[in-house]
Amino acid sequence: MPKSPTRPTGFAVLRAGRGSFLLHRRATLVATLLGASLAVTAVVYLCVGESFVGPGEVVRVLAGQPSPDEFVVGTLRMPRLVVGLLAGAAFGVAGSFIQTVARNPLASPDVIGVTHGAGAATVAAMTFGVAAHSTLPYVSILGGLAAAALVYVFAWRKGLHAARFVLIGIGISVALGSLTQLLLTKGDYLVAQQAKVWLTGSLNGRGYDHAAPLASILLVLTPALFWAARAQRTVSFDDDTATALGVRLGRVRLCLTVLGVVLASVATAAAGPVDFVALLAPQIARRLTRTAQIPLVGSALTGALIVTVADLLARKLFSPIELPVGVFTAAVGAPYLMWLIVRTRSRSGGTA
Amino acid sequence: MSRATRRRIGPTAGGALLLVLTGLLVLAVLLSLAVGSRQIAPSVVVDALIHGGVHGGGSDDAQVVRALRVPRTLIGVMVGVALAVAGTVMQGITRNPIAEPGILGVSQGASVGVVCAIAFLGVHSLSGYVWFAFAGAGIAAVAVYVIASGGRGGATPVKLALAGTAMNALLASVVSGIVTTDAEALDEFRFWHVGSISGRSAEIAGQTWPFLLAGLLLVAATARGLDALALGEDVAAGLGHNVPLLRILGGLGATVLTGVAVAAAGPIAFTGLAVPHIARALVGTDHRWVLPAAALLGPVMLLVADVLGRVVFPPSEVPVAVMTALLGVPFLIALVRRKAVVAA
Amino acid sequence: MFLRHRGIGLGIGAVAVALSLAACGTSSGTGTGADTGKPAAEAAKKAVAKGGEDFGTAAEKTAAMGTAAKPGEWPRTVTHAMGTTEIKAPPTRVVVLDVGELDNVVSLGVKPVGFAPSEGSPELPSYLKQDAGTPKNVGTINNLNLEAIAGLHPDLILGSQLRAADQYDELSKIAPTVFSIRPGFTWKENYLLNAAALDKTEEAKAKLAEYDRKVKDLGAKLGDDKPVVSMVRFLPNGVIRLYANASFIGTILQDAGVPRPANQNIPDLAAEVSAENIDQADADVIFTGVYGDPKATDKSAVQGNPLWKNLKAVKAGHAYEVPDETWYLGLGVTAAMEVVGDLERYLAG
Repeated sequence: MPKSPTRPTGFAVLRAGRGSFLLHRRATLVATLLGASLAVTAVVYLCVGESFVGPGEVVRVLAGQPSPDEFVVGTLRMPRLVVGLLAGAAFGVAGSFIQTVARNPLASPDVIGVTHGAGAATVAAMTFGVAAHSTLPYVSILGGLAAAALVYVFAWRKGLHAARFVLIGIGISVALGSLTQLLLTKGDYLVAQQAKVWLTGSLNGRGYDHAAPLASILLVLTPALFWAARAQRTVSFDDDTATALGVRLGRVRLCLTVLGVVLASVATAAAGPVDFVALLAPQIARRLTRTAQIPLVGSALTGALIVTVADLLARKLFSPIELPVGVFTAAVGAPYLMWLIVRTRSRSGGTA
Repeated sequence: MSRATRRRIGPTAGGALLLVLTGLLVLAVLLSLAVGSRQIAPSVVVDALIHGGVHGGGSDDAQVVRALRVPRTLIGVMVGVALAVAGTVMQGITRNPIAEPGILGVSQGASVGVVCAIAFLGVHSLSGYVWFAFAGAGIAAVAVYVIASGGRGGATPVKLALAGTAMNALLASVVSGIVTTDAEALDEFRFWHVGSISGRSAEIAGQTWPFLLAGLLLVAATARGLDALALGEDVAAGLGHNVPLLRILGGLGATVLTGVAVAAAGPIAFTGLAVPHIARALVGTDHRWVLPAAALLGPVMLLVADVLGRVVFPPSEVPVAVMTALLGVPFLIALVRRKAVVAA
Repeated sequence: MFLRHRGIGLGIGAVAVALSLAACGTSSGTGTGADTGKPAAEAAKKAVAKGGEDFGTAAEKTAAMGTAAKPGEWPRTVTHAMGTTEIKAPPTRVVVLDVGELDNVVSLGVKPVGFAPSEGSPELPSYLKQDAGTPKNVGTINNLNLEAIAGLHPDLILGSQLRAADQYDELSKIAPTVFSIRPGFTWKENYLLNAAALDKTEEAKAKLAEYDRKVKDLGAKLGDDKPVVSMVRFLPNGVIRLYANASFIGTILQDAGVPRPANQNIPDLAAEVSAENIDQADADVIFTGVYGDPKATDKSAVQGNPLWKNLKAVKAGHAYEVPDETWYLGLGVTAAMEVVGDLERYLAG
């Protein structure tokens, strides 16, 4: 890890020696390439479906010019793509925060109960009819935060231990999953049916009204994200270095965790629990950039790319029946998690 | 378990404890027979068991007890025994305190095996698809253990749990794929998705018991070896135990027991986790005491969970698997908070 | 929409996209009245589903919908659950979003081009297969594939608020869309609403009159001393429902003047019982249906149990298994006539 001397670490990238500059260049290159492939995927996503629309036509629609395919591309595919992009990016960033804090690639929001908490809260709100449709995302965020807080409280025992954090997270996830089942048993059967569609993590029928809360929360959080990108570096120092630099590690970690949890919950509220994206995206991004810490922009782009590609496949593979996008991300993510477990070289007992 | 302190229990104290546990089991059985969406007085329950009957033209209440609650309770007892003993063995052979059929994805493997057998091969009898449950459980168990053993530090609890979570997620996604494209599989899957002991006929108990017995015998044969293994692989080998054989036998026993439980009731998690730990807390670490204690406690936990599931939202019933998870999770948390687990 | 014209630059990173969309997204959410307003639709849907106050009045409200146009008059404006819709010419390419609408249009001689089946059974119901033609599958009831619908270039979409209120905006951009409030016990009103959109009101009224005649005949045949009829349906995961008055089958039994047990004579869809309380299902005659695979339900456990065998109807041999797809899943006039025929065979035969 490049050790920047006295300067605040956020500027280290620009001023550090040659080695660090090279790293940075690779990260930029990767981000550019990821952005380009995301753009290509997005166009393909808009082209492909029940009927094929030429890329030229898609660009015309995007540019706002009249087109016979305006409806299919602009009204049906575009909102869905936007939700996918935003949710994927949010999941990617959330994962990178949590993994940075836990210093463990195996810790991700879905593993530590956030998505299940968001799910249980949403189903509870639907079942008891306490929340209006428009407030469901916020209920979901509260649920995710509550679940994470629960995991945090239970995992705290003279400090946080990553392994304990993950195990408690898995336990709380199972409990919340059971609670969701319990609520579905109690609830009206029609509500249960709708809740089940949401619970599988699907982008079908998601539109701008789902994207809006997600986008506005991302917007509100932007300053925090800039702060977090800097803070991420300090957290990846070991405790002694950080203390020597005068960084209050505990507070920074807590803030990063809360940010990660909020992002994952918001994304879950919009798209349903799309499993494993938050786990996959940061790891893939880091392998691409080969940086010491998890690249934020790279994670966001990778997350968006994963969700978009997965949903493209989910729409197309068994058409006209659509699979929930979560099925695909799990089919890819679960083996990847297994591979990570086999390959893991990380300190299995890092602090969380 | 590689805990330094090893407690043993004397024959007298042990016998007395087992007797108490048996009493507890009898209570749980009576509770399961007496409580449900229909109010039946305990005296009627006892009367129905002893006198009332199909031929005696007993009251409706007696009929409910005999025709519905007895089979359900019987299957609950069998599944409870199977899961608790399977959990004990898994914890023994992996030397890992959180090993358990549900968490490790072994139950899910078995249920996917059953669903595939029914949906694609048209196997509809329990004696037919129980083999697929064994196969599914076996494959999942081996895969999870191999994955968790890879990498640094061997099969630590956190790696086992994560590998199990990954396995569960993978199986769930495979199943959703199948179900979305094959509507017939959907109904089957719904039935096998969440473990429940309601609506099972007494026939199922009749078909399962030979497999249950076989599994229990396999496990009983490994009891001494498990004690030695608890001291470490080298110690066990030094004491003259064939460690790989021990693991294979124990694994086979656990797989058979899990398969039986799933074939009879569907996947039920956490019974196999909580019960062995409670048993160990009561009778010490000697497996010749732990196994019988777990076999008595398993059904108690399962039946109590099932009774709770019957009374929370009447007239709907909550499947027993949901209730065991809710009861078991606090236990997992308590366990993980103890230092021994994460230090492993 | 506003959003598209904002030119979403393709090269911009995801965060930048997020920012530009945030503004658009929020403004379109709170904005113009052109949108029918999703929260309102959502609230309406909730009230219907939960058996709220709309439950009882859904039939009256649906009956008030329809068109003022004369037969053969096009374009016509149809008032329905989501507002009013103008249909320019006689529809020839109709997409139906549920079994009820399928039954309705098929009984009026229209072969739909698209149909959304339920999750469990992707096939056409067998009693409609003969006359339904070969409609294309457009996803499932709860998971509509809007692109598949758009690809069919329909000129009329028929559905219900309860099932698809969320997607009404998109659907109505594909083709004129007419929604009833809910499927089920309002089937006659839904039928007339659908017929109004197709300009086949006369045919629909004739069909309903035929049904009326048949069901009254049945009532007359049964005489004054009609048997009390209990409806039992086994659903997966141990759910057993006793169908009551506010269900499709409930309305038919009411039309025939057949008495129901007190626990089913309620203004609700159904009462739930558990296997242990199956004696509450007793009556002179019991009709049972099974949703989906019988093995996934408690059917065998219940029917193998002496409690079931002790029921008055079962002892007398008056417990009959009836086809689920017409009696319980059926939501239209064709199914209703089949049911009346079955009833006649079992009760008056």
